[in-house]
Amino acid sequence: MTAENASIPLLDLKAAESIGVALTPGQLAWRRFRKHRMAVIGAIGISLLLLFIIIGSIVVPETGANNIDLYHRLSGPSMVHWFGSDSTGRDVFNRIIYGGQISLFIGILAVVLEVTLGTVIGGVAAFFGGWVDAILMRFTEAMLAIPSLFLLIVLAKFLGQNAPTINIFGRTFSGSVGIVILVIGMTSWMYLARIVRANVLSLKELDYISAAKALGANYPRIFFNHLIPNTLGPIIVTATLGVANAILTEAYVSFLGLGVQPPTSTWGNMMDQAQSFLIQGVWWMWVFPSIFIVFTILSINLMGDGLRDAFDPRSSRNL
Amino acid sequence: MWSYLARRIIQGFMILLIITLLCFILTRLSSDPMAEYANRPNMTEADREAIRARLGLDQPIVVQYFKWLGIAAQGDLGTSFFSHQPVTLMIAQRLPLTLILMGTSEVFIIIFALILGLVAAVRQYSFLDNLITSFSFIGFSMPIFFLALGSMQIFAVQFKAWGLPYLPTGADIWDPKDPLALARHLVLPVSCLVAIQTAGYSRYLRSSILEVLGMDYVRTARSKGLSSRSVLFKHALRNAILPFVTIVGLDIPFLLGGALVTESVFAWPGMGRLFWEYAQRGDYPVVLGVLLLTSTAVVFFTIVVDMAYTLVDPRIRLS
Amino acid sequence: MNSKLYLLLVVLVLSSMVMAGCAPATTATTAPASGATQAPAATQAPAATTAPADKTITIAYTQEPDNVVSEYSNMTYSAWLDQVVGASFVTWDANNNLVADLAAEVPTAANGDVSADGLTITFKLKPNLKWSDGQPLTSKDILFTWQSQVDPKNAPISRSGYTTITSIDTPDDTTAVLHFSSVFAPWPTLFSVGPNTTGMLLPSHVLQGQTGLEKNAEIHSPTVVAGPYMIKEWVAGDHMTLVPNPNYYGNKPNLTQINIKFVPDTTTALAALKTGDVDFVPDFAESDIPTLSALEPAQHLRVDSTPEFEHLLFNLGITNSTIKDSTGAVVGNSDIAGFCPFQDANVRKAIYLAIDRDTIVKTLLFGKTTAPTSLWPNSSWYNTTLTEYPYDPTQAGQLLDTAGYKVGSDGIRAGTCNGKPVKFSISLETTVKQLRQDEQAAIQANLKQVGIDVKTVATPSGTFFGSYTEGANMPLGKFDMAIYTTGFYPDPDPTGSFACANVPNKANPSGNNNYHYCDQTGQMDTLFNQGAASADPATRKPIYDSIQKYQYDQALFVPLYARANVYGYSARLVFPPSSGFCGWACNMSAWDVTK
Repeated sequence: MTAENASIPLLDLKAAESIGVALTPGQLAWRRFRKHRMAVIGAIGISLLLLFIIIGSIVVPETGANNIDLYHRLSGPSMVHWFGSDSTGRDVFNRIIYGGQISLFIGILAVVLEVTLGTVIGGVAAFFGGWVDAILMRFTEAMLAIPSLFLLIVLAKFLGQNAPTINIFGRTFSGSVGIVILVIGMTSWMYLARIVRANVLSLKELDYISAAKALGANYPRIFFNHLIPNTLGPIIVTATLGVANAILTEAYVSFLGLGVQPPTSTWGNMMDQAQSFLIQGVWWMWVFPSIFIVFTILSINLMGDGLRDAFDPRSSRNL
Repeated sequence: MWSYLARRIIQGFMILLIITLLCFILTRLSSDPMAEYANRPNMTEADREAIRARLGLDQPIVVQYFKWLGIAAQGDLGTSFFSHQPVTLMIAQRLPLTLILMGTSEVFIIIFALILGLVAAVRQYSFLDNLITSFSFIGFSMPIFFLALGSMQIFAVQFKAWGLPYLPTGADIWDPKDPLALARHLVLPVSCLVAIQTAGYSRYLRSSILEVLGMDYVRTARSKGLSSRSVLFKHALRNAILPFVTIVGLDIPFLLGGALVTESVFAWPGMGRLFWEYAQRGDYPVVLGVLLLTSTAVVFFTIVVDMAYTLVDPRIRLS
Repeated sequence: MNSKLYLLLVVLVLSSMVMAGCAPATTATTAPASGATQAPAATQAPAATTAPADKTITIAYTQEPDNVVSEYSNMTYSAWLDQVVGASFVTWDANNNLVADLAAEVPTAANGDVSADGLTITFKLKPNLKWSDGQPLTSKDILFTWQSQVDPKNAPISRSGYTTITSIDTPDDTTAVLHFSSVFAPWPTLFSVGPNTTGMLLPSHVLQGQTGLEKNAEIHSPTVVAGPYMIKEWVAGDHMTLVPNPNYYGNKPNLTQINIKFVPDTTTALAALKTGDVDFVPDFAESDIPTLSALEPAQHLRVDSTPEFEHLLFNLGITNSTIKDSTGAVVGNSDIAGFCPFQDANVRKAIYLAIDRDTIVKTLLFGKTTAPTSLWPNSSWYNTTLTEYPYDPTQAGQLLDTAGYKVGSDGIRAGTCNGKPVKFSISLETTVKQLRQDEQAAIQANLKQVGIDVKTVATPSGTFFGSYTEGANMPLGKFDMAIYTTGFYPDPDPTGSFACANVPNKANPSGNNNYHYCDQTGQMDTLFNQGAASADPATRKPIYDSIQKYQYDQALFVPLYARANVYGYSARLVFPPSSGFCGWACNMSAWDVTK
């Protein structure tokens, strides 16, 4: 969405194309993204969610999410508690707002860690080959062979012994937030590493890489300017699925009590608390976090799917 | 190529060593086998020390590991601290039913993924594509414990309460050798696993097919006058299916590990449940036994898939 | 492309076949190779000639026992099972009275079976007792059970108590004379089974001469038993089947078969109860009470109060203990000292007063239990003269002010203790169970009102109850306050948990005194020793009353609520009376099904 794009109406773009003016890759990508209706819906969904969380955090103070009221515990949705109250009487609606902040925060940061680790390890392994490839890939395989749930549990226990509380912007977070980010990031980079490696391996032998080498480009230039951009497709797909996966993984880790500690709420640990009361017909404790998780993940995935289609230079079929 | 294979096999053994050592240390650090004796006030310290010595827990961690490694190399996986049964026997008892559950699920997942991925790719951006995308993502976004618990509540408990034909909860006594009982008990767990996993595979297949459909040789084939169906099945699918088969091949060894949450909810006596129940107790002979089994399978399959991939794709040269 | 693709598929398929071929061909229904599938050789046909109608029930267990014989198992589930397949010498009935089971009479000082000095106890068995295989049950079995317990070649979970016996004489088949080296007050728990008792009688005619019993198949799944039922089949990971013991001495059991199904958790058990797949679930939590009440009349609920209780403990560790043991070595030191203000009884009292225990019971536990004042609720040892501490945050605040800890500008109390500045920002640790997390939240809110900032920590029980050598927080003293359940029954002696000699530290890593408490006045240890010195309840009661009063005055810990056993069972089951001491398997031969 460059400045030029904003000022040139669509009709003229087509006219421009017909007289042979080339569009920048960014403009092409944006046009492809817009065509993908579900992706646009996803993007709108995410924007609405972010708006909800931001406005909600301003309107409702944090104490509103952590206030205990034992005599009104487990009460259903009402005028007082829009989404009902949980097992200690805390308001579920408020906890969804503040929980959303933390869940999204964890999701995004975990994926940043995951993508960095995966791309670097996979790319370097494929690019240099030889014993570098062998060592990195054997390490990746070792990590892959261990069931991820097991890794999550033991890492969370191992690292989370005495996490200090963090104070940012005047708010206190349990240090377990950082631990969870670290743990999710460290246990999900392996798939991306394999995919990046496979892609770079294939690309490495293509003609234009040989051409670049012949022209005298050095390794970092080849790596960052040619190989990585052409593997962006799988990276983007993995990253978006990764955010969704991270939010789900956070729910699993909370399920085992190793996630974010109360009273800090996340959608994941709200579902964990709801689990004990599932049989009693206390539906509001899990339905609302569930809806928000599904909505968020769905939107993110749709958007990411559109981005993948948009950035793939080879999928020019439908333009 | 044979020297590459030999190298890979040797590296495979090294990976197994790394995995077992890592998991051993992590298991020992994550859960204390002596914790279950903590709440017996009438045990004397001499009693506790005796148990600790008998289980070999009073020795340094590294010594314990090598003792385990020594007997494992001879094919004996040791005895569970907790159930006092040989680990090999415990695994053998649970493996067949695990394979039945996971194998059936995998077959259905592949079938559905193929259909859904194909349809979504061929009808990109159509209403059908969007519908399939949405539904598969919803299944993908649901945490499995809620799907499993929910479906058990509805189809087993509620259906019976309403007088409708109902499915078993899994907590009844049934004979796995009876094919009808087996089929009835498989319905719910398999459905849950399929609902969760199909999306991942079908999205991957979809993007794979789309990528191939955008290739030059497909355009050539079309311009030669071949029908769409011919192009799809004779050219595009053959190439698109390769990465898909890779992914499936890499997932097969994990079938041995079972599905932790699904098995727990439906009381399925499989490997996932075995692993989880004993990991919580820090019973490392069982945990390492199961891990060794799955890791060996993963390492083996990774080598197989890698070799097969290079056989099929002539662009990849092995260094 | 064609051939290469096919080659790939063939390779994958072959690999799968190879892997499948590597898996052993046995099915999940193979019972463990321990002989559990052999039916015991019954030598007597049952006397009744009418064929009984088929009366089968299913019980749900959320944990599978490791070994059935409770001397070699640490699980409550095994102890329960022992009540079904085993018999005791003496035991507690549903009214919490000590009664004779295999015994001809309960040994007391009055009938001369207990000697005046308490060191010699004569066990008299009923005549003509038999094991399930028809062999006679005699005093030799008592002798053998004791020998196996103390034999260093066997590894029972605990030898405690059996090591106090120096010898056993067996003048005839029904008499065993036990000689003790010192008075062992809990002697009724020896050679008996119960929910908290692990003394199943072992058949000497089967096990004589064998050692290493912890690996023995007969210990894992006994084929020769003395109780109302016996094990017919045990399918590992799935279920166990029990049938009546034709040679049981007592009332003939009514049921024809009992299935025990192993389910992963109480949620599955509840679903199965609703559908009728399961008839009895013994281990629901207090929080399941409303759900179960709602199931009436199709399913029933029963709640039994127990002598176990949930409590909040303070880390009372010190590093300058002056108490010495019999060898003159100093005992009672912890590696690190606990939160300094906790040494002041007024601070502990303030916290006790600041916690609204009644609200916790009314809301989190649905009012189904009570908040006790001491260690032995719902038992005859309970000191009924003690009144509950009220909920009084004002007085709590005053006590803290007087003790020198005033509220600071951030709302948290601070002051100096032993010359060092302290701030009331303390940790409260417990397991991840939902109910406990709710308790933590409630207590955190209560204490915040009196200016104490509580950081909640939740750890899985495998870590929470870990040992000193594994680096767990409680034995190492790396905590300020903690919450868990404890209980001392059927015998009240709590020495293991409170004595100076049992404080865990580097020299004593297996010590079980989680409170890290060492009474520097020596009074606590003296009272414990007095209480354990006599086996006569009338002598002991005043001593245990003093212990309770002492702990109450000192506010050594805050009892939160008494635990309850919550059972759910189907309407077709006839479930005889049960109690906290006796458990649900109190009277197995009386179990029946309605028509």
